[in-house]
Amino acid sequence: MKRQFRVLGRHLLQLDWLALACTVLLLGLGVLFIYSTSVGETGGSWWKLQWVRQILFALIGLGGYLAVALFDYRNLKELSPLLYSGSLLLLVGVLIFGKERNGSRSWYDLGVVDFQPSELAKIGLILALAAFLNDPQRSIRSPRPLLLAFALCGLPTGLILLQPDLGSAMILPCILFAILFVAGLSWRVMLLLGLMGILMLPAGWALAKDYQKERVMVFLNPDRDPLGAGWNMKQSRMAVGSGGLNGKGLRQGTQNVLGYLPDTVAPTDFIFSVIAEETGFVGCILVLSAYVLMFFLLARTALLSLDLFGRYVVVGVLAMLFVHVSINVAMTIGLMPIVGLPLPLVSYGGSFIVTLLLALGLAQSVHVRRNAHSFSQI
Amino acid sequence: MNQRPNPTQPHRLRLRLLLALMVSLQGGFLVFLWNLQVVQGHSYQETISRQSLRRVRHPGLRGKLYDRNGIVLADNRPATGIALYFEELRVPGPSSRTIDRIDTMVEDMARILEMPRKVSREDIAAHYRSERLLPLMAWRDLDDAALARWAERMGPQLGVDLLTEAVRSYPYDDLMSQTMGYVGRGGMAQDDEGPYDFYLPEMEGKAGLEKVFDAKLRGEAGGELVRIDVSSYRHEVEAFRASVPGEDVQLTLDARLQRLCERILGDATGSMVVMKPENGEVLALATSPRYNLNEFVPFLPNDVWQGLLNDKRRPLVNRPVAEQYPPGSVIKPFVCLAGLQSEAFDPLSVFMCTGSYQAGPRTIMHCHNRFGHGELTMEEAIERSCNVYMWKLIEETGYGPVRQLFQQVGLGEETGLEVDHEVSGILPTDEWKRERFNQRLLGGDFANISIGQGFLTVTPIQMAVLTSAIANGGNLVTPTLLQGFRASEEEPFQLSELRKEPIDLGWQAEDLSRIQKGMVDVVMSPRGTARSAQVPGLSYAGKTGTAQFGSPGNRRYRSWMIAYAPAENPRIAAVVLIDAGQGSGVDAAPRMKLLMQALFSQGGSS
Repeated sequence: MKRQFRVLGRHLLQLDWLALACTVLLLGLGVLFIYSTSVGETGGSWWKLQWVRQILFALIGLGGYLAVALFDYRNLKELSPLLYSGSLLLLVGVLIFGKERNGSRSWYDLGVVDFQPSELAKIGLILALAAFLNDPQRSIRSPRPLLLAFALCGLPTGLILLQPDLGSAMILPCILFAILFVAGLSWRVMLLLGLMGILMLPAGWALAKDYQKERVMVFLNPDRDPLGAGWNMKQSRMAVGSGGLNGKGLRQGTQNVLGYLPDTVAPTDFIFSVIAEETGFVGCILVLSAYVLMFFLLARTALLSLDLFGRYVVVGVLAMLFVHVSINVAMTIGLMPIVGLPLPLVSYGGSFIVTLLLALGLAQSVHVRRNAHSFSQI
Repeated sequence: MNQRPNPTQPHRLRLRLLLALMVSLQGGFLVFLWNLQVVQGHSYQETISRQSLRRVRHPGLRGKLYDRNGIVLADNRPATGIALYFEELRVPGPSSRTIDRIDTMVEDMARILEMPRKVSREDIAAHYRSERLLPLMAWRDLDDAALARWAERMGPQLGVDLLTEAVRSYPYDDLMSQTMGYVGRGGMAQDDEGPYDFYLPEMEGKAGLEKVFDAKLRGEAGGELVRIDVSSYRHEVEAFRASVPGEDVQLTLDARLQRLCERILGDATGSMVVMKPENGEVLALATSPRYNLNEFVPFLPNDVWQGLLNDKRRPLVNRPVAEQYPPGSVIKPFVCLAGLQSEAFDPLSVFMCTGSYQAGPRTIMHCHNRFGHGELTMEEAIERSCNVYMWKLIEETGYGPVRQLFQQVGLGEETGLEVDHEVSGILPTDEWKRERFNQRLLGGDFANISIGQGFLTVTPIQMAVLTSAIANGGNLVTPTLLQGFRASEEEPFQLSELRKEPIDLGWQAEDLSRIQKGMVDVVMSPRGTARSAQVPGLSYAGKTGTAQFGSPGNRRYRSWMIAYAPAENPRIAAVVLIDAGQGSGVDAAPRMKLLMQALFSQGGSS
């Protein structure tokens, strides 16, 4: 028992403290600006306030983060098929039992909280791909394992598209591609895939739902629907632009306070525009720098990994974090059509916060058990 | 089992490439953000201001109108009403919910306060649609009983409170109503600052002095810059500038004398003008019939307006300035004066009046005394108002000197009194007649003009100016109603621009004194046409006149009397005109007598 505690203590010391600090910083910023969007809120119990709930989610998530970090990730190698299949089952289940919201069935209503199985599917896919490619027999230089890897990704992606939830579905292929890229996918195959992707675009357009096409059209011309889909985009861009160098101060962002940025999206998908309006360019640098630092730290952890499994897991987590950040920021500042993806660790929303913290915990677990000698490799 | 990472594998390079891609993308975001926030930031800030700031115009409190003795003639009265503030009454969800809530509130208030509803659901919806950042007045101008019920049964609540507005009030109801004019709801006043988004109701002078002095009375608008939220509700006041009250205007008018004149006119249709002969200050500008100005506040009910428009006695017309009449015999002293000034006329001429006059080969004109006045000097001709004398005079002098004198004293032109709708009267000339009748003026026309008939028409205010010129020794005054302005009650009234000085007409004193003598005789001599208007203890000068109109079966008279008093050192010049009366001796002269009695027998003010 005593020995176990000592091991636990040693592992704690080995944590990537800088990564944890970045994580907590971003979580704190999130709580602060969710609080900032609550200007208009009056009455109601304190536990119904979004920023209070966000603190709660963050604490739960950080608990899971530490637990996973101390847990030896290598045990997950054997568990990964189970976790993967489980996440697939949940994805099938949500299509039947899920709660319909805004025309898509993406959520389980668990009473107190809602749960989004597509979040779990991201972790399931990361683990499954890492375990699959960990086997030296399966070189992605040969077509069969490559096709199998695509199938592993395609199944959950397809199920999520059935909900439909385009945003989440976009994440899985990105994770797949990042892991395959690091695993050494040949440039020729990449070129081929790229060509195929371009050729698929018209097919994708044909298959896209009307509202999805509309979003793309609105992106190309925001005045097409100035009060509907174009509204959030235009107001968000105005909020970001009006922030200037130093911003207007906490709770002073008029777009947010006056409701031009609707309070349904301000604390969730559009939290970055609130930050940009109230803290200006300086605040944007701070937030993006924190993410960039996390990218570095995760990449370092990937290289320090004892084994390929750990490396692929961390690359998957990195990809997941990166894609969320990039898509969210790009959409907030008007560089991309609106896709309902949250800003990692900052946006309001329990399901994603907890999932992401678990994923980052996995990376910490790899970091704790790193190959001390390979530090010089970075 | 565990595969150790093989250093020869390309992982390191690939990871670095991946990382480079990720970092450069974030760097790209920062470059974009720099451009968006720092380079273009101001334009976005402006766009935001435009979409969330509204300018609301607050009119200045309207200035008041005073008479020369400081009596308030047009005042502002506080009117308290019940205001609804939508931003505090809003209900989340569709707009109909907020409208329903307010509608229900108004219904409840109507029941509790025992007052019929003044705003319908449609009014509430309209206010919600277009100006929900302003309060809606559910009731305006509550009486004391209603205010007591409010205090007792309701009191201020969230979103509901009393609001006091200024309402124009005229303490003397119909005093000088046509000259005073009235106010109505102002349009969108265009300030230098460009259009506002919202305009609070403003009183705007629509007629009379309220219109003429509108720019002074209005003051400077203030306003507030209201930040609205996404639902167009009032969020906060970003900036506020107090409005500046309008200036008060003091009139030369003497309200008591004005009221006296209006009483003297009584039910008759007509007008009276009292003026200071030395400087043209108008002391009274009375007309009859009149209307109650307070009926125009806050707005004129349509039936009242239609009633005024269709009234055959035309109460909307400001008769002393806006109506022109043939002067009749009151013009004779001026024709005589023109004669005296003409070289073609022997000032000592004595004309024989036989009662008739051969105006043309087949035209015989008659004096009003068919038996003839006999031999007359000029003074006697004025005293007895002989037509034949005038005809013979103009036959000798021609029309030229007469027209010249009329032109000199401003006939055919507006006097420039500070009123609206002033008319000029008609000074007949060859050009004027050619335009109308394609014919120049003929001998018969001159004969008619010389006794104030025919084409010549004048306004009572013009006659007051002419009378003043006789009284003040030959100076042409510009009539005025304006005594001065003051910016606030603490300051004295001051004239902003100098009065127009009287113009010396260059009349010879001896000529003038003969006219004056004739006019004194009109009143004071036992044969004078206005001897019935004598006032014990007062020597004054005057001239009566009558102009006929209407068909022979229904012959009506316009009855004039002009006068100045006292005869020596005159203090007032006055004109009485009764429209559609029975004759000068019957209508105008007794009224002039009443005026003189009031002014000079009882030590009345002037």
